[in-house]
Amino acid sequence: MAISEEYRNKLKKLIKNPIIMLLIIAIFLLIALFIIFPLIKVLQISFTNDGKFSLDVYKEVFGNSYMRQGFFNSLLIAGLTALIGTFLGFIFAYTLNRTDIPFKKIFKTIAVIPMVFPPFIGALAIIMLFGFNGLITAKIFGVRNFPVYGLWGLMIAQIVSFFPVAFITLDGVISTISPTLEDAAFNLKANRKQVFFKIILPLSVPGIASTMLVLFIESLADFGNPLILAGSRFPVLSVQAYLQITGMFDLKSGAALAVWLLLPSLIAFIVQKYWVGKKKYITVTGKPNTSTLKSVGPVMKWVLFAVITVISLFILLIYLTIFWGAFTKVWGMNNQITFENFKYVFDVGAESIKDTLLIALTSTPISALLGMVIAFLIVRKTFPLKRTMEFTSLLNFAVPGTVIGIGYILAFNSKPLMLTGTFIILVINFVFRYVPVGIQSGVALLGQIDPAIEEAAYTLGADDKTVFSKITLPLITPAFFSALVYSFVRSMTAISAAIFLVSANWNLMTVQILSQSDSGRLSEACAFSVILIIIIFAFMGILKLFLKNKISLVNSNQR
Amino acid sequence: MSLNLVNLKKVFKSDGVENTAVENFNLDIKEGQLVTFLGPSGCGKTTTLRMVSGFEVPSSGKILLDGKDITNDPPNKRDISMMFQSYALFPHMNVRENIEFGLKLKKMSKKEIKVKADKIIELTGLSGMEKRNPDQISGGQQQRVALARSLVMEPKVLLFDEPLSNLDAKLRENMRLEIRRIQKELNITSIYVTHDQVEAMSISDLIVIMDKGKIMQVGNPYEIYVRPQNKFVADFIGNVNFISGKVTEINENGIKVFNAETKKEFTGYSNQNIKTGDEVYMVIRPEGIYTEKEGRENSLTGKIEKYVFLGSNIELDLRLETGKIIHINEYNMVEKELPVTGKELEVFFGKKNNWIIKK
Repeated sequence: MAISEEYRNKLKKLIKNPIIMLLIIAIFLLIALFIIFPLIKVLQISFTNDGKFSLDVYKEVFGNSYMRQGFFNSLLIAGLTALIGTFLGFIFAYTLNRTDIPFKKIFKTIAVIPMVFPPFIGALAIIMLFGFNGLITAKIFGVRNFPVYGLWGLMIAQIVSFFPVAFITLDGVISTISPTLEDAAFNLKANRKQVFFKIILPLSVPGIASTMLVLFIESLADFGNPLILAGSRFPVLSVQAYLQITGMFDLKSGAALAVWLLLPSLIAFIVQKYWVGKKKYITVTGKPNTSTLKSVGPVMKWVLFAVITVISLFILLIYLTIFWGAFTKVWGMNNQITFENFKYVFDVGAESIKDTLLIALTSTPISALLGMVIAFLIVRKTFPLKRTMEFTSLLNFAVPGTVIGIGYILAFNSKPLMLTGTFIILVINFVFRYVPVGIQSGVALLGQIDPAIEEAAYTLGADDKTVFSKITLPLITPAFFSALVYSFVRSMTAISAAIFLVSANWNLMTVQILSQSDSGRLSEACAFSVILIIIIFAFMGILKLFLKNKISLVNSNQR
Repeated sequence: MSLNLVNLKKVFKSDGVENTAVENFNLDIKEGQLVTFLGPSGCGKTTTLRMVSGFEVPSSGKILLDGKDITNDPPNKRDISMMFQSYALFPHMNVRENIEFGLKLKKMSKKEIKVKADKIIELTGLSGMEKRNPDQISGGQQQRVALARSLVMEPKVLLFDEPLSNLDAKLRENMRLEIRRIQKELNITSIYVTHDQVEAMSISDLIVIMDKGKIMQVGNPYEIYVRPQNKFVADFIGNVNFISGKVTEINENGIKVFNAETKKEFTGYSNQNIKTGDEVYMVIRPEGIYTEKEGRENSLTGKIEKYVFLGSNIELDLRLETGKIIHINEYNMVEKELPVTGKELEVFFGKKNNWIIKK
């Protein structure tokens, strides 16, 4: 009886303040339509034959040894990338956090560079360096058959592309392990080795596991690198699914492959979120401590320094190659400096540059704002199915772009949602693909902000709308802008889902880069990439200039 | 502007386990009264306050403001302001903007807003601070801003959620006097939540003592201290000695209680409906026990276990033959000699310091 009265009271209260209720319903509808519905379509088409439930498509797909190979290759490469990428990321993060080596700032910057480049740039550079006409293999060592196409080339390209993810996560983990713990261990007569293996490493295990799972998901979902590097010799699922659909016009097999791509990603995501995520040690108590820098010996310090220097130089080499390539006539054949590539790009690709920019500038603010709204609802409001909203809105972290792309063409090619080939479908796709990062940073920041601040605004007469716009949003500005930057960069560099959605009217730069490099015009592809990068940096620069005062103000007031 | 809390109940459910935070809560608050909710943490005082403010929905019961049912009104539709433990100042607004926030939402004219804000800034002693941000002023000043921000709304009811617990002792004392002064000056009906009994004693018209979600006693500070109605209240406020016993006789001189351990009879008084033969507690405050007889009816004998000299007073523990410890607080040590540990001592207390409550 009592509970039902409370429930009635809550309903009455909601009805008196209907904005929140309407907002919650609207967001659920959007999630259902643009995240869940496409996935259901993929599942549906792969499990039916002539309108009936059937496993025929799967039998066919798995009867094909070439496609079976794709599944195992995908898992293999994802596993290797996760292991090695995490290992290197850990060394990098550990060295920067626990030694007093010089140039830390520079190292840190280099480690995050790959983030602002399209994810498949690594593949392009690796061909230019180690391929048939590669600068290093052919020009320096005279080797022409270096096995760059296949497992190793792809793995290196992926590790470079996803290195920032590994570094940033592990940097966060190691920097929050209080150095006083190390002091305490030394004080209890542990030696350096013991301190590392008994204190630092065990405390990092949840972070390491989480990094590996994230890299695993990223690698599985990667499309650009394998398209350029893996070729037919090393089939992987994402590329196979794409080729089935665009090459063979076989939507069913494409969807079935997509489902097989989706499964391991989803499992990794759920393990990461609900198992590893809960095991995190919290060692931050009160004020941050200054590092005592004792757990690394003097010899080890310089060994680590050498290792991260090599990693950094390699990353630099990859991206400098792109710039160099953009200004050469024909990479590997004629290295004359020229601006012709840029002229070519503007002739051929002006339209796609405009389209890309328009789509990114439209989707970015919507995505960032939506992320903040969802974060606000999840952290601050109670409503039925809240956990469901959180899980489904974050789902696109785990769903590979290829799967989303296929889902979108299946879901939105008939009335009343006839969206394929339009500007809108690309915008919607980007909004919902990149909203999880906004949600996560919003949730993290809101968690640190005293809910009493918002409650104070309510008692002073503010309604939900006012509280959100005047109090919450200003307080989570940093999260909002990091979401803005992230989703802009990702929208500019997106490929795996977008490649299914582009049309003659709306094309993207990344698709152009891929097709240029596919047809061997590496220098032109580089020029395209350089323009893309310039746009990204310009956006970040303008944002920084424009918001200089505002951002610093918010940061200084954070309690 | 009266506030009536009628049969309030709040049950929290987590993972299927029900936990009653507040039940059977009935209270009538008159205009201009400052009522304190006092109790140990987890007693339900903050939950009750949050139901009044609208942040928690009662599981059952009603909240009436001037006779109007506001139980289901959202917080922003209630004429109630709240001051938070963490102050909850808006970090992205300066002092004046914080104070004017609610007025602006009321769509008042700029002139009116300025007049009201200036008056309250003056009243809370914040002149000269208007342009500063919350992180540029001291804890005490932040406190004043929070108070000013609530007061400027001229609410019918003002709520305080442990507002002084983040301040140091000295500042706390000043601030609570100031809160009381302003509250009286503006005659605002207020509820004040605290776990600090000195704070509650010093500012309240009425104290509500709570434990485990229930009201244990409602009364003014004198009643609460001198006439506690149960063991919890007697124990929670101040220091106390309990001696249990059985009522042997009731006459115009008081209530006679026999304690079996010491085989002694004591005289006390009570306002409870006590009958001969009842099992009772005798509530004896340490500061009402003396070493001089001077006409006091009751006495105890024991050995001095230990004492702590505190300057203005001395805290002394007396061990009775039964093994029980009696706490004694003696004042005016300037004219007395220090006690000797282990020495036998007889102490006396009058029937006025022997408050009798039912077991």
